[in-house]
Amino acid sequence: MAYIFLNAFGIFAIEDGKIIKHKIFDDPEEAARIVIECKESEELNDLEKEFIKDLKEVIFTYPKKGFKFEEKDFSEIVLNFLKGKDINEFLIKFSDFYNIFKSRKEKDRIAIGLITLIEENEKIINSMFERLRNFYSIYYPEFVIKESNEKILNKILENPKREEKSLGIDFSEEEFRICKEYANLIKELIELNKKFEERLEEIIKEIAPNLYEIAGYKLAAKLIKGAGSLEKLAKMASSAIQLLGAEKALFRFLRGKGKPPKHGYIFLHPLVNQAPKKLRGKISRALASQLSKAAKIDYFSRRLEPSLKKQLEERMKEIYEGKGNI
Amino acid sequence: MKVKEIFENVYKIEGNIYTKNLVPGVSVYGEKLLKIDDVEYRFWDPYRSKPSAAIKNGLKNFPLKRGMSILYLGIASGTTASHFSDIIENGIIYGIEISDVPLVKLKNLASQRKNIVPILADARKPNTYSHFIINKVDLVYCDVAQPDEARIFLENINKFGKENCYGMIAIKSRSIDVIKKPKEVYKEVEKYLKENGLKIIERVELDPYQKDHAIIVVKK
Repeated sequence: MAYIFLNAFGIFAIEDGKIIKHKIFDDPEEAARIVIECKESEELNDLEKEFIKDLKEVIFTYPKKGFKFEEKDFSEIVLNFLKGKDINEFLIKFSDFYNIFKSRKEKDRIAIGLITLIEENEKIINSMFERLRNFYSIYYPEFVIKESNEKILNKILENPKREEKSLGIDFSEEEFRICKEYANLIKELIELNKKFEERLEEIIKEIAPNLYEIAGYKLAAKLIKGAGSLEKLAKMASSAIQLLGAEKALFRFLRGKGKPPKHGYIFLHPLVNQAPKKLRGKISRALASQLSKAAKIDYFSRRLEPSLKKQLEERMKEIYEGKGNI
Repeated sequence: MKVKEIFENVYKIEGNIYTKNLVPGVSVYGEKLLKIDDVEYRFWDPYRSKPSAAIKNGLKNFPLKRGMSILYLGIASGTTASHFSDIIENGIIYGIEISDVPLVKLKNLASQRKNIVPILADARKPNTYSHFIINKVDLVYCDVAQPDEARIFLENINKFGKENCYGMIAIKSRSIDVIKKPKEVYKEVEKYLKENGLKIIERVELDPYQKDHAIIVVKK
């Protein structure tokens, strides 16, 4: 009976405290790739297949499908075996490659980066609109007061001259030019944001199809960002997901002031924000529980599960009809 | 100037704590360098590094020695680790960090010093980095600021620590329980560690350098 033991220096078969077979890794880059492959997948890979081919009975010291697993440490034996090798130098090089390979694997970090960019951009666009309105209202206050941001933007870009008598101060060509240039900048930023959002949508569709189906790409991305990663979101309780983004209110409540929050980011979901105030708590709970299931399926299998949305719709019906008290 | 060695490679100069610089001429995080009689010392800022604050507040049992191997949980960008690296000289530090942003900075440090191994991993899952730690360590230093920090620390010291090895745990009471008083949190952690077979040697609170923090030194 031989134990299969793996570390940065190689893969070893150990029987009765002696190394009976070994394969030493010479190249730290190769070693890092192999170690990650062996430790992260429970399927037997080619190297392991080849290694255990002529061994009769084996016990793995890390989990592998179809084999016995026992947590055992043979570092000392291996260390004695490796005497003479510059261990620290190899380890430092190995860790370099290991960290690189490891950090490349997480695509949800692109989604988090994108949603951060988009949120920041939205803030910037908003405050730029504010400035534009302020400036343009010097010339044409009547129009600015009653119209929306988009209409003002279009008017400035097409024809900034006023069409009625106004209390405003006359602008010269120079001021119109300033207005136009600033408005162009805003328009470009909006288009840029649209591109970011399209890309975010693609990524969320790929990495979290169920969250996308239930919550849409923006809310899904916000939840992933709030949790830290898709993995963390998948391991969260539904009540934690319900309150993601409402930390301030939650801690205020825990300190003994104020009411407990009903919803965090999930308030962005139309099911919550279009519901009557009385039902929002119930709906938030139902939605969060469905989102938590979705995140779990997304992280562990990535397969689309249409029944999730159906269940949610049924529950909504129940809530609105006043059935089911929980 | 009077230089007094208070622990191995740790010096007190005019009331401030310094370590002997392992890589002369290089300042890691903008700290001041001091040259006395051809030996260069690096200022160990108590506001940025918890062990330094503990020494300033009168820590008596500082377990770091030359040649030690250390498992450092939550190494971040290596501010504290650089001083540990000064002290242990030809020993080795295994630095576990969950986030890769500070690890980039740590990579530079590791390439200068040759006694730090940065590892991108979660300290909650010792199995994912057990292949790095080929010999058992003399000291486990834990600074992860998580609610279950004591459990993480215990798991790692049991798995990777030698017999009679030391442990140091830096506790941020606010991240374990916001509502409780810091002293109660420290006592709870001590009780938990004691119940699980560790000997408590010393506890030092770090105010005013680090608010609501403490360092507990233990022995296996």
